[in-house]
Amino acid sequence: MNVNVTGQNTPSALDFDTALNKAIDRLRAGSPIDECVAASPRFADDLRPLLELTQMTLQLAPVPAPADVKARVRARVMAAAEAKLNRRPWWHTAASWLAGGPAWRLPPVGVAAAVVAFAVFGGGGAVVAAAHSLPGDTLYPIKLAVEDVRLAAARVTSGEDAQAALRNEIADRRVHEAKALADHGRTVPPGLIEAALRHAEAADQLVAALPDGKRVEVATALAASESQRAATLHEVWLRVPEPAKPAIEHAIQQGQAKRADKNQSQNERGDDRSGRSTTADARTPATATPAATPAATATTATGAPATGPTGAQGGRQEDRREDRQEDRGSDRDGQNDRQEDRRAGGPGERQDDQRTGDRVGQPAGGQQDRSDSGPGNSRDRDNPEGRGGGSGAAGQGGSRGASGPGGRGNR
Amino acid sequence: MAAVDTADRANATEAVGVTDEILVRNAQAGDTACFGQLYQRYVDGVYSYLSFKIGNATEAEDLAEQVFLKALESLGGYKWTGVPFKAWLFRIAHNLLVDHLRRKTKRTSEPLDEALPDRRRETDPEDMLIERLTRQGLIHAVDQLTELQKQVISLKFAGGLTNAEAARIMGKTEGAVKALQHAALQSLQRRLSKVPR
Repeated sequence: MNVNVTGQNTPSALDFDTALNKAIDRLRAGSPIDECVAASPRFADDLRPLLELTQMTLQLAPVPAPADVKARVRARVMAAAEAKLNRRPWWHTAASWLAGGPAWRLPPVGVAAAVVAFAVFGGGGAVVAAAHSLPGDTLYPIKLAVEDVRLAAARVTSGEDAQAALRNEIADRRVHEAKALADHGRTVPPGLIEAALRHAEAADQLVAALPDGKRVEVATALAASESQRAATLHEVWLRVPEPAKPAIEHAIQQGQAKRADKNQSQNERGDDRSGRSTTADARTPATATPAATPAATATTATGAPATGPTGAQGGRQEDRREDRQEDRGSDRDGQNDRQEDRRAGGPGERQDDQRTGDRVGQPAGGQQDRSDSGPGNSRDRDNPEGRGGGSGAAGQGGSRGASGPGGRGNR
Repeated sequence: MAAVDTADRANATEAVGVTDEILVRNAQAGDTACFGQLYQRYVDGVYSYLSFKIGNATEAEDLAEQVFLKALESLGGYKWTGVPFKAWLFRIAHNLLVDHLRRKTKRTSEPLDEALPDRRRETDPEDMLIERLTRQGLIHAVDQLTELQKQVISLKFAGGLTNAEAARIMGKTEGAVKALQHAALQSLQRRLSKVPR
């Protein structure tokens, strides 16, 4: 069959083009010529010589680069890639920062200086605008860089109290950014909440280094912020889609665990020093507790479990004090059971442990009804002064008695 | 992406067949290992395409290097707007090749450069000679095709591209590429019948 290829719009030419192309595809896939031809018997006579030519071309035309050529070219290309790609764009630095990089070590001096110069010499408007930016926005890296400049300056010119206040302010910012992103239906990067926790922890460390009197004063100021952050985080947790919740819960849990450990050590140190609570007392005022999570307030009133990222509510200080008095010296055998129960609890899950009365796996900041608590609450033993009595979603202390995803079992 | 050792990541991405898109995005973010993976993935096709068109191993090596350097330079501006990275890369190769050939008054390596490597690793000198002469005849015949026909043969049979990829690079429809392929093979058949093989 002689195909008219010049009249390519004729059905026969189009059909042959298609048949030839399919046969070539088969040939490239490894099929023998006979098989390729047999698939289009109508064009067999015309296909065969072209397929033989194609086969020869496929054997001869491809000339893979020899190993030594590939190595030489690769070395030169990769050297250029190292030089070019390692000059990372600003958004990559910001992404690394959000992903958990050491926030206060990352910004190079040059970047900081550039930001300051930018702000001083005409870029102030951009910096002001950047202050309202959110992760993912063009100006957000400027916001971070300005913060880093402030932190660096505070380390040189300010005391621990001012540095703690700045860290606390930045932690607040991260949480509010998370809420703003959630409000706008945008993705909340897990690193954002982790950054908030890092700054909060840094603030706590700075507070811990203060003299006793100053520590109480600063810690009191920070406690209100912390409570508000907890409430905000709770709102974020409620608003983000399900896939994003675990990351937030995880970040909250990590923060809680670290802070609970730290509080415990602080408590012990405080007891050793003076036999009374200073920091933790101030950080967990009763007034700051239930308001942190609206759901928790409802729980208090109804006794029903609330939904939220953490089981973390204090409150009912009077009841707790009574319970603590009773708890002291009582049996500790129930601790392990409660720990196991709490580990089993997951988000949205709740169990009433009849042995202890503890609520297990309570996802929200549901208030723990301390009057139901059985003996042997380690928090109470560890914290006879009532430290850590209440916090919100990201709080600590009280959360250890009523654990949800962000909660923490008795230790 | 979790931070892992660069070499491990390079191996891992190759092993699990990470898409070009992911490699490109990581490379754009500063991951040189991912750019290295892209190089490994396409250096053979690019080099083969260039060497088939140029017929000179040294020039093909230099031009292949230029292709990847140009890709590196332009990587920041590359966006996933429907043009696959492979087609984008071969477009660079094609443009550089056109410039290269334009600068030359004629092919310096015609007939085929002796330094051009053998595709097959046959050690029989007679087989190697036959292959070399056959390839030389093929390249000579391809050289007589129209520019579009040459491009189709080079991209598809030397570069290993699909019709769709070749169509993107050439700015043609897939149907046009099929027709050009058909016409090119028929023309080659006629010309090769006159060439001693």
